[in-house]
Amino acid sequence: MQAATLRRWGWVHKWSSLVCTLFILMLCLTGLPLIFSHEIDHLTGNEIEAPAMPEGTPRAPVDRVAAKAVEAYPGLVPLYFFAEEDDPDVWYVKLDTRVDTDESGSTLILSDARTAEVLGAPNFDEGFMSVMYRLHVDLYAGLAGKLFLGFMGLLLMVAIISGVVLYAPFMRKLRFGEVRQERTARTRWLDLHNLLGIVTLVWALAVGFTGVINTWADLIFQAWQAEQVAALQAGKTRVLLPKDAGDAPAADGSLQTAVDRVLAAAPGMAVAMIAYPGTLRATPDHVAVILRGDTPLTSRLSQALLVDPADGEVLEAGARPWYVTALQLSEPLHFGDYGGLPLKVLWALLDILTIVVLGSGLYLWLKRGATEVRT
Amino acid sequence: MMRIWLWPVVIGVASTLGLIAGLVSEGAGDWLSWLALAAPVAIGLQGLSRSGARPPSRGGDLTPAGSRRAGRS
Repeated sequence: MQAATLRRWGWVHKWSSLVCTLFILMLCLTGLPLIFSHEIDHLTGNEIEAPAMPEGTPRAPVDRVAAKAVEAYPGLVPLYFFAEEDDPDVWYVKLDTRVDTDESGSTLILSDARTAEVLGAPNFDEGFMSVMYRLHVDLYAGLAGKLFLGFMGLLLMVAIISGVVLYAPFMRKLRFGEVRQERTARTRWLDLHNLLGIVTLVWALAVGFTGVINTWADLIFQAWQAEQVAALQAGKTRVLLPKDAGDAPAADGSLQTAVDRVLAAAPGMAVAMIAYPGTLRATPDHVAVILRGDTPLTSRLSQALLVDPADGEVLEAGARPWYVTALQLSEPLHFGDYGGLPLKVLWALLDILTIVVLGSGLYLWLKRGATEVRT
Repeated sequence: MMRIWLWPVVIGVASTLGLIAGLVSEGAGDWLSWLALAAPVAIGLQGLSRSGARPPSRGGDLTPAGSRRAGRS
């Protein structure tokens, strides 16, 4: 490689890294406990669980779950119901003062899906894990904080790619994995930086880039909502279940019947989320029911159907756009929550190796001068 | 060229396989993803231990390897 080209890549690597390193270090450190948030909540007893009941206990209509939630939290209205794949007895219910807030001050509660009783509200607003979460997600600055961290993530992508370009010239006279012991500490850390950087490359690119995509989640859902509303207004919808379909329960204005009609129109799917009309995930006049499939991949890729609770017509307003697919695949690839505890442990170890790459990079810059790039 | 990039490419392919395997299949896919992602972790941790450095969580400069090196120089 030409000396001038190499110097230019060196410049790109230095500055892209320097700008983002402290933020990425913070993200790696706060992300470490977040990998295990489920386990930590379980161990510290912060997890709210539904009482055991005989198998096959019938589930309460979601309208009753909503009514009980509003009774317990006067002044709030329900926005969404979420169902966890592995915890069918619980509804997570999100409440806020209106359906069209930015949801930053919303309340999330857990309700028993069988008795409709409110089980409690997980304490997301205080404690160590909450601080870790907010620092990791938005620096307590809402959308602006998310987009800022996303930009730092993009700089990390530039730093990683320029680092790969610089890897070859540095390794010309070295075997793979060689860490020279006999030279100065800086040489040792340089070799280690190169080794750890190249072995964590694919993981760091994947977790970094999916993290960037996750920072755009709000914008992605807004775009999808706008697209669905536009498709509805243009009449470009596919009717999956007409108003007068006889083989499904007749619409009666209730949410539960609306959801039952959606399930009748989409056999083999399970409810992942129900969004009230007017919320970010629905349209002004329709309930959105987000469904998930039952295979490992399709359980991540959801399908959104719209239903008018008054007349029971079930619509699909266009297929899922590619950017929503990208977001939905980005979530597991960022969280590392799709392969049990062993995958989480590997995620944590790769995170620690990345911290060493960042720390050694910073050290190499502080001790610069002694062994600058020579070609 | 080949000498420099052989191992990085092997590790990169293993990591990619590991990231995707667990996503598309449960059971066998999970095992494949654990094994494949263990490759970069093992090589990285081995490099760390050889260098005499320790992950920052453990800290401390007076590791056995560190004092050996100090004795030699």
